[in-house]
Amino acid sequence: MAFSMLFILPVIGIVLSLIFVKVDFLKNLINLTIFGALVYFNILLLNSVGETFKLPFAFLGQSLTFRVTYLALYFSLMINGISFLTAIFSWRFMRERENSSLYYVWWLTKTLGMFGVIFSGDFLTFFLSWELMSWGTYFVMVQRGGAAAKASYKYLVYAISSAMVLLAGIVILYASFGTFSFAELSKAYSNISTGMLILTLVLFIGSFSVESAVFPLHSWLPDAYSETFSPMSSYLSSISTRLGTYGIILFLFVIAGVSVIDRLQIIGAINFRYVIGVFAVLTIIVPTFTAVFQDDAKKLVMWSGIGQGGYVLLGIVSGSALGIGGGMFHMMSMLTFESVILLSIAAVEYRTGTTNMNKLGGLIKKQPVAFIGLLAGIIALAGIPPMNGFVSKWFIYRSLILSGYPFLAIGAMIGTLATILAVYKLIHNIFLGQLREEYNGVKEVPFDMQLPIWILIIIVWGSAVFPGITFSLIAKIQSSLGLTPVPYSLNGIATSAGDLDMLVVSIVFVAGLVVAYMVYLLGHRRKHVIQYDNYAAGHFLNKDIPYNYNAHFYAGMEHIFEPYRKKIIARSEKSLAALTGTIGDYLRHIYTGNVSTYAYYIVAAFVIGAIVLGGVF
Amino acid sequence: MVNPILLIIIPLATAFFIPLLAIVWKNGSRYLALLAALANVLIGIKLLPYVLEKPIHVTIAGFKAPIGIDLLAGPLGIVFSLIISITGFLVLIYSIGYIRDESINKYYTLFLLLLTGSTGMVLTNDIFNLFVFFEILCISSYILVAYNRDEHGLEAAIKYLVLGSVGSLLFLIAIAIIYLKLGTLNMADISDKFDALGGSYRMMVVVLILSGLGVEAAIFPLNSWLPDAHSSAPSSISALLSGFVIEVALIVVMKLVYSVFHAMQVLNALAVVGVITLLVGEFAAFRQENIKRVLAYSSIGQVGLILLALSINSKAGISAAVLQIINHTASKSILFLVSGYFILKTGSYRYSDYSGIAKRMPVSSLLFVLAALSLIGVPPFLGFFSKLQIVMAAAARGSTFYVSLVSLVLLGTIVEGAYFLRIAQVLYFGRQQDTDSGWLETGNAAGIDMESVGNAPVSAVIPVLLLGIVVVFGFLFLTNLNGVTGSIAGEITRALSLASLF
Repeated sequence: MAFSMLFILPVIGIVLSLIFVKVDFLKNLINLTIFGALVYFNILLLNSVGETFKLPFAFLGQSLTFRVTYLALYFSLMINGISFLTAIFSWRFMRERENSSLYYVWWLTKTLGMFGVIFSGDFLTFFLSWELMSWGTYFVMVQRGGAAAKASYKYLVYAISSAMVLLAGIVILYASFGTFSFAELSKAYSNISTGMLILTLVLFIGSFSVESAVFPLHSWLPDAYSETFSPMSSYLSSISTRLGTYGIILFLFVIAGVSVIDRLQIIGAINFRYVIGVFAVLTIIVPTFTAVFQDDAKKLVMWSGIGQGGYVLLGIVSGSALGIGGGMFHMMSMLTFESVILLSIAAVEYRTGTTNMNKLGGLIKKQPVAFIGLLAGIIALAGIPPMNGFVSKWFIYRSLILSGYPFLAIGAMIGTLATILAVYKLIHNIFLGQLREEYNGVKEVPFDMQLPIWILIIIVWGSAVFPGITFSLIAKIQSSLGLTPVPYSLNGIATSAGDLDMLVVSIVFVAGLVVAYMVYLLGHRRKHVIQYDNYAAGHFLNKDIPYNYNAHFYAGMEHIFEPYRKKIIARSEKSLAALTGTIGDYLRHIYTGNVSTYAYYIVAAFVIGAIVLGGVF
Repeated sequence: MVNPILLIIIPLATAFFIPLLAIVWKNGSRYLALLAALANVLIGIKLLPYVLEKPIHVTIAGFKAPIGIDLLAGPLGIVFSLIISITGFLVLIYSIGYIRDESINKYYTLFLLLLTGSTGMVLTNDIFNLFVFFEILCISSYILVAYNRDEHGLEAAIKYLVLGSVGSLLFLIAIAIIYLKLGTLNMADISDKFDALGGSYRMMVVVLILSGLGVEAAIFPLNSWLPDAHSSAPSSISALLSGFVIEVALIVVMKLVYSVFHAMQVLNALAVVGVITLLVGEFAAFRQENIKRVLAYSSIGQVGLILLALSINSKAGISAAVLQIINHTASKSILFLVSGYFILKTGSYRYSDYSGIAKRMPVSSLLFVLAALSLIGVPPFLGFFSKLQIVMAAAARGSTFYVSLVSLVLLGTIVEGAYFLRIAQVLYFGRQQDTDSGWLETGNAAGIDMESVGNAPVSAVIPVLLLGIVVVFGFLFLTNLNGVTGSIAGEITRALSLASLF
């Protein structure tokens, strides 16, 4: 019952949204109710782990199967939770937006596809849902038109390529083992040939790397996610990419199994997981350094979000209980902090109409809630206590060092450096510094838009103080996948290899704040200034010529890095498109337009046919 | 039970009656042609349940086979007659508004002859009779390509005529060899005797037929006439040519290869040719700017896919191929019919000039996109299921050879998706240019006033909508469709024999 409701409700929502396409209030109400109900049924579903479901009709002689696992539930809880919060935020934000009449239709379509992906029990269901999800994502993004259309087109080409590679993998598995079912394939993998293993690994991991934006297949993400409506940007960035990671987890742990993959030793200790780890580190470093130089707030977050996805992948491929636990936890951390950051930015956009950081600044007193939301989010993103990003990164670093991957750990830490630079730029250029005159009248967003931000702040913090709540589910996932579960406690972890007590960390952190505040109170040499009376740095300033640090924020760093920012990926994409066109041109020139050449073709075809086929008769 | 021969007689007789009717009622030919096509649809529907159980064998003029000419209306014949007459009927509705000039009587006469020729090709059981119907089909389509009487149309028609004649000639030589060596023209009789023939004769016949009929079936490299002809013809005729003419030729060739000549040894080579055809078509379409040329090259790509599927040498493959033919007929007809009105309304063949036309022609644009998605193979449209079945049928053969061919098919799909979605985005979101500075404002170079572009007339929207139903809701009837295509596959893979006819 609860399970079928997960699929029936979005369909009802799609139908009703189409019927009431012109009635904004009803449409919002219906969809908010549906997203709320989905959360409710999802929680009910926690009692039915292990159950399997089958669609009443077969397709191509194959039945479409679904199964409820802890892994799937973890993902569906994340999806439904964030959908509900985003839906609350969207209510007011999406009012009277152009080109948004099918906003909920595409969103629910995508949700439906995502449910299908995570609950599917065989590759046929998986692929059908995967396609539904990708097209849902495309339509969600493309509906805004303009620049969003161009960015989504790029996503689409990537997504079709990824789907075709995936299909090739599935078809090869079907040709070899005659089944689509995950359970049967997983049995077949225990004595698979090495060539087949390498082939399928490359196909599946390669295909899922597109959706999870792993370097060098990440370049579609920043534009595509940031050009669409802001609440949707937040939603996509926090959960959509993780479905690709779900695919990687599914293939590595459910289908193939770590022990089978570890048979592929490349040189010494370097195995296939290590290779993915290297890509994960590149995913952390390259996009995060790109993020530093962005001028658009949403694009900056998108670029650093790609880097955060790298941490997730790094944790998962580390293979240890700690690392996998940390990677899984980081998905939840990412979900909440990406969402709270982007919703805060959306709140700023709602009032100011822009996300271009060169045009913002000094909004801290005008939009304090958005400021606190963004602050909580970036603390988590940078992996600083006491927010949840710290917990997950602690686990990931710890596991990398313990499992003997020091180079990967160092690479990941280099990424953290750039992350801190990027997020400082973000909060400074929007909220600190001088207020621009045109934003004098800006007010905080209404309460219904604040609400999701507040809830997310509480989760970002609360899940860090009591990580055990999340780890209780993660440990069950690990056991169900046949891995060692994380040895967690309510407020941290205690192992022989060192422990982490987040309660203590938080108390110390709060105590530190209290001490700092006392120092602030005790000190006498302070003066309250207006927002224009700062950042003078020896320059004469007035209201007409405010000294604005925002443009070229890291000018020195930009100068140093400029020679290395070759945009290799963007260039290779262009070359590939050009190559396709050129091949097309050459092939088209076969059709010369000269009829006598064409007649020769026929004669040649006949002669060649006779020569080639002469042997087979 | 109705006699299947009516399927040929009705359009043929009506075609000759139209000029007479024109003397008394000038525009009557429109409705008379519609009636004829409708009659064919009804007869086809009535016959379908019978032939699914047992093929109907019709002896003409009392001479029993192998002496006389006979028809064999099996599942293949009736299903394809249905495809032909339904598409014909819908395109005739479209033509009411689309064809508006002085010589409509010629148009309708030739249109019905085209239907006659293609229906005859799938029904006949006599190889010379096949040649005759093939010529009826070819000659009427040569003229129809040039129907607009513009420079491009005439040039394309002459090319088509020259190449078609070369093809016919090769076909005729093959028939001559058969008659010389076997003394019979009845397909079932040929099938019985063919294996006794010497290897080199068998090779000659098969290669001649493949390269002769292959011209019409658009197999690479015999398809060089196609991009010109399909893009220069009136859009209603393009819909027919791409929609069923090439498919009919293809299925007849493959029926001959399988059930008459039993030449399974050529299938691997044909599969490779199919994939080459597919890649050439898809890649060539990628660079085109003329919307009808894009669609024409895309037809080449689809024919390649169908040829690959037909060459898999398993019932699953052939059944999937027939499903793909149904999907391609519906989708490509939609695409051509819709683009016909895009061209008429804007006066431009370049799809980049249709920027934002979806606001002016919402239904047409939506169906254009749905049909394109179905051709790419996006669930839940019919094209996804046919493509998946093809891929699975190929994979089920289990050899590396077929798996590599499938990978190339998937590569072609990526290119196909890229160019179709580029057009779709222009329709909905305006012109997009890939510049470094990013987004370029919408607008069109030709200075077409989009405000003046109105909706397509009802007579154009109705057929497109009906075809859209097949594409969008076809998957609901997948089991039934697979049942029918499965029995066609059975008919093709079973060797014909004279004994089984009586």
